[in-house]
Amino acid sequence: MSRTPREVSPQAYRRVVSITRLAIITGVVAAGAALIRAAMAAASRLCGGTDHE
Amino acid sequence: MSDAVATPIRRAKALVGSVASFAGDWVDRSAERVVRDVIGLRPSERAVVAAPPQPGQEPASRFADDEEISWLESGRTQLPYRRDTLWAVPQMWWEMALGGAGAATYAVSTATGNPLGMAAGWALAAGGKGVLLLADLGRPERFPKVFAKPGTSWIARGSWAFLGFAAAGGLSLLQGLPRGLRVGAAAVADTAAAVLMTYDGLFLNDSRSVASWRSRTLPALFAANSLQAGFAITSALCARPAPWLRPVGLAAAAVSGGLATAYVRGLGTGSTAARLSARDLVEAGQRDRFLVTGGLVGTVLPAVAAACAGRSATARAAAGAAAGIGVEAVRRAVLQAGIHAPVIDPPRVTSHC
Repeated sequence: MSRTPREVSPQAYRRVVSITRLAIITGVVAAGAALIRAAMAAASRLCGGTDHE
Repeated sequence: MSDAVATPIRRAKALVGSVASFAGDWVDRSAERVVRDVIGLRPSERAVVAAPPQPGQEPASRFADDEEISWLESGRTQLPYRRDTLWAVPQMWWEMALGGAGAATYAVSTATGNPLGMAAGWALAAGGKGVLLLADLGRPERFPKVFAKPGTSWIARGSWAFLGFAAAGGLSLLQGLPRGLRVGAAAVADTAAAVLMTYDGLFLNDSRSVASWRSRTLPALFAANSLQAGFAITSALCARPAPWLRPVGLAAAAVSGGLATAYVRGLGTGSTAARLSARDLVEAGQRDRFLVTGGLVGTVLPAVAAACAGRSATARAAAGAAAGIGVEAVRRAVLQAGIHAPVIDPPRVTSHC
């Protein structure tokens, strides 16, 4: 069931878009942090493996 | 150039351009879609007629009056104020951001002796920036000409610095080479990295018709912003960061924030085009990008994370990611706030007697 969008003033609309944008960027930062942690873990495993060899 | 070679090059260029464009607009388009489709809001289409300013009322902008803003926003072709569309394209800001953040990460990682950071920085700058630079070339067969005239062109100087960084940085990462050779190569790559962090600002300085790019603060802002990200990303890639990384990284963040403020202040006291750019950066179209993503997420958040939770690997990883995103946001905001100006301001319609 589709909702009918509520009409708001352009200023209020822009404010909500800005907050949503910040929330998405926070998610991107979290994803980037997870990627860095994964890279660190992979590098550490790689170095550990080499040491054992 | 034969068709067999030209066609794949053309396709590869189009692919890189599409990816850069998608990555540049993804956040904005997603936010719009969430607000329209998930939250269920849409802006009113009724024209909002602004009431004429009353005596003593706050002006709409700190930087430009209503008539100057109308020169830019009206879209009338006879008024020659217009936002740049030649350089303010996704490939440019991604290329600048990857080059700046990657070169700074490499340089800081060399100082801390962190091979993972050196490799990551080199890959970002030499790989990421390299691909975008190649894709940005108008006619590939004229590629060698980009290195011509290093005496007068910052594009040529930057190309030489990029080549030096890619070659020397790559050599410094080869573990099979003698240590002396690797250290020498790293020193050459560090010098080139310093140029890569700064030259985007110097190259924009040469743009004659965009007042906001001619600011002498811009190269320093780009360098400090890159360095701050370099410290944050290097800290994220260290199991145990060197004790000096945190205070120096905080100092770089403070300098970067100070230079961003000085940049906008300088524009605010400049020509009409410069003031319109300042308005874009802190009041209008680029405000979210410059102040929120570049300032709050890219500078303040990593500094707070370093100051309060520097021992936590997760906090350092988040700070590194945030600083990297901030570098892209600052470059993009500065490029998109570039406004071409006429030699002489248009005549005023209203008098201020």
